[in-house]
Amino acid sequence: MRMRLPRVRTFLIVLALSVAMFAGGVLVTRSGPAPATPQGRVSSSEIVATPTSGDLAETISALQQQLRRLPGDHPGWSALGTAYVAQAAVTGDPTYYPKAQGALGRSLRIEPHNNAAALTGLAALAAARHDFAGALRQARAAQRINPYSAANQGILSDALQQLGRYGDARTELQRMLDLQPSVPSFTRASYAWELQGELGQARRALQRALELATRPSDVAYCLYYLGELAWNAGQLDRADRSYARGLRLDPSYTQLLAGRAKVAAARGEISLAMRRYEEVVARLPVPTYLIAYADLLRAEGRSAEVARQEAVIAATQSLFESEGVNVDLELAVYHADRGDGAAALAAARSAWQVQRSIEAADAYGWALHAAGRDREALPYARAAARLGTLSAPFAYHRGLIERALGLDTAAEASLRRALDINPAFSPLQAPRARAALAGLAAR
Amino acid sequence: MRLRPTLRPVVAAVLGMLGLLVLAPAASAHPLGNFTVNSFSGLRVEPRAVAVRLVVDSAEIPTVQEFPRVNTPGGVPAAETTAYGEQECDRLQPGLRLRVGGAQVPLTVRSSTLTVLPGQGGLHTTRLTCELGSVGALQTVGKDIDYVDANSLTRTGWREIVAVGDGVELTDSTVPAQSASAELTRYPQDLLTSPLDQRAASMRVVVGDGTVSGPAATSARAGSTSTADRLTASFTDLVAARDLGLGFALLALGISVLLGGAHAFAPGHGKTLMAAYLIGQRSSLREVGIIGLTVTLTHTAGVLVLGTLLSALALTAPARIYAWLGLASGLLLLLIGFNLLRQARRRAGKPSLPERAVELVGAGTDQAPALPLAHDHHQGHDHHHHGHAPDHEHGHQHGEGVTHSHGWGGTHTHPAPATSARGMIAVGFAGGMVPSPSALVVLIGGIALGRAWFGVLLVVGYGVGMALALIGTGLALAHARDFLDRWAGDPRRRAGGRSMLLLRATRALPALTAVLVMAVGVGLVVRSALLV
Repeated sequence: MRMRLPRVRTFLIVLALSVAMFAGGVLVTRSGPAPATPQGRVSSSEIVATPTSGDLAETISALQQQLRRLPGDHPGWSALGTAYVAQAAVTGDPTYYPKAQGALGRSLRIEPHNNAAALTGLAALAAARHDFAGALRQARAAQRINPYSAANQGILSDALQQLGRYGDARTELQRMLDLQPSVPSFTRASYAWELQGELGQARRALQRALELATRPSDVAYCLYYLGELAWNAGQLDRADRSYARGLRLDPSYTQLLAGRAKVAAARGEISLAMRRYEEVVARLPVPTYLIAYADLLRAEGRSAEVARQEAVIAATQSLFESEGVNVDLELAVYHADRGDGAAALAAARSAWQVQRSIEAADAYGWALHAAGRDREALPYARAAARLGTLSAPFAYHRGLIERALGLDTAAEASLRRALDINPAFSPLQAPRARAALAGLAAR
Repeated sequence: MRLRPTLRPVVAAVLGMLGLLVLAPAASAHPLGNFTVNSFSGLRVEPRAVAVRLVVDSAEIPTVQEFPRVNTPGGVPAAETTAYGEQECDRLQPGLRLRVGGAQVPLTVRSSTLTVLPGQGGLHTTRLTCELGSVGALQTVGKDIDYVDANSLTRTGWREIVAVGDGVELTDSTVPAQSASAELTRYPQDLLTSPLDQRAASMRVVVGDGTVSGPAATSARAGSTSTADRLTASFTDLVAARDLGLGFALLALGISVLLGGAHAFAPGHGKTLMAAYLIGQRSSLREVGIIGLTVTLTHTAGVLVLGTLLSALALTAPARIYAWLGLASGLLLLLIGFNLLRQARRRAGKPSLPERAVELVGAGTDQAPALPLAHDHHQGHDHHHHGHAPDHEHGHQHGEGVTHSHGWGGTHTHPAPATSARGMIAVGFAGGMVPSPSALVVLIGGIALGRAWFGVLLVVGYGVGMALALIGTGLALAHARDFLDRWAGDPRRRAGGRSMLLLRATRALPALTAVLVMAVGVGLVVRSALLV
């Protein structure tokens, strides 16, 4: 009988041990994101998630493996489709868009009725393809099924913004912030403040985002926007510090490098700026950077190299047109800058059909000016200023339109404002703004 | 909809990433730009040389960035294309690093071809082929080869390396022998495949005729599925089925019971162990039933717990969990085996096995009172029938501290159960402890699809199937054993030396069983420890 107690104890110990191993094994193998709270609301993973290709590539391959085992798993398909959209944006590789479309479609075929995640993914895909009306429609449909998704609120707010419905965009953004005070919601809030010219509020929102950011890539992301905010206000040193800090944390962040190239050009460190731009357009040859590089080359009179970059820009445009897709706003402004009114107008008009943002209004007005139609241009230039945004290019464009219409006092004020906001806003246009201002003063 | 718990964190993470991106439309790419620079390296290893074929497929934008003249109206003159191709191969050559036996081997361009192909929007793409070869005397056999393509590291694109032996054999190769893209001419369009990103390769050269082996080479053969895989696939497909009618659900349940039964017969420690235990321990239907039930309950509970934990926590493959469970199961078996061995040795010292067995049973009958499987204690239970009906009940449960003092003693001649309910439960626990992966997949799949209840149902069905198979086997074995007992114990046969031998063999069975159980336990512990 002395045996009994120890034996029972041994049995219980073995039992407890195996249970512990069971749980221990699970914890050891656990490497995915933290569990979400009920209702799909705030999950810590959403707060810390960032657009680094490493994280994304891991997520994508985990989802791919899971879907090979479970091809009927519709939330898996929507997560994969959404990850493909993000991957296309991170890498600049558009071959992910058809994959995204396929994966999201698959999710919806499996679960056609109650599938908010797939609809949010489709909204993101539409927005990435500049179909903002489509993005709005899909995000609204997703919202009807699940009104508690912060991510969906974000896309909804972005789409409304691009469509020029800023009031509605703010409402949806507020809801996003209520649902989830996170890096994505605070960076969006910052942009909303910036649009209204409230730079202090915009900076504070970014600081909040920065405080919430934990991983280096998150921090780099916030630093990029802090840099942009400083750049837009002409604070070169502050901007450069932010970009440089971000690059130290995430050297693969091409946008940060483009920021530093921009600052170097503004400071007159031309060869440094050239080297940086060269790397930027090799990594990410999108119109924004190709144009910025070409502008710098043109300002330096390097015409052979300008021609080389312009060939790339033209190729980009041919690709857009061959697909019948609206051309980037950047391209409309680019043509207008070079005085090619017809090309500028064609690009701006097609963009205006799908987006009514202040950026689209500015581009349209600037294109009309390039085409010599300043009377039609002025209402668009005013529309671009309707939120009170502090934008040097907008003010410069407006100033030249006003000057062409003989509104000298207004033109002088506009040009002066442009140079006050950011005296180095463009290596090509800032000297022109200065010359125009001098010419007006001489009249 | 509400996302299923399994995927909610992933979806949230992905949406979070996306949320950060959509804000920056200016910086993000336009969908229709085509920026990729795709490269392929094909290594051919010979006994005294290494040849490399480098193919670079540039999409429209990089083509115009690197070779602006390509879009010249009317086309580029052939001589210019050729010159550009040569120049490009020379430019890329230093980026290709080949090491044989740790020493850098210089490569030289033998020939180059540049093909201009029509692309989107009236633009062009280019396909550059550089044939390179190692320079100087080289001895590859018996050495390790490392190869890196360090070109275009910042560019987006497909990156692929393959390696074949020509007159030598390659082992431990990190790359396959076959190109997945037919040397960049046919990219897989599968929704579940990301572009390859293979920038480095290593392998070992041995004497042979030119085949490649290694993880990459074997993965090419992974397409052929085994019968077990197909069984598992059929089970997992049950949950994924779109429309769930009652008839279908019943059919699915039936199939899952069958699959559970099949699983019980598949090779595995639990089943072998059970059979050995049952033979050695002369159990009755009740014991067989308890073991079967415990296996089922443990297995089902294990799958449910593991499935819930996995879906709540992450998506990772539970390979390591299996290793831990295997280890626990092995340790438990060792313990059981040890106990059995001790019992068997004590028993062996007694004069008459059948009579003494009862007393020994008593010594081992300290049932943990809280276990739900325990029967009520029947104080007035009739112990004097001698028939061996299948529903025979032994009142072996006792109150706290009760020794086996009621007098069944020597009148009791049937081969009484040689073990306690606790022991049987422990055996069942060890047998059912490691959840079957297919059952787990079905459960997680059910949770992910919002059909958790159906997944649970199928898992229970699976367990029932397992239990039925085990009980059936156990009964069959028990009958076989009884027959053996009777045959060996028949007085007419006792005189024969052969039957004496048999009798001895049956008497040695418990000890053999104990050793076998311990051996299985050791094997399991060792195997699992290697995996942990």
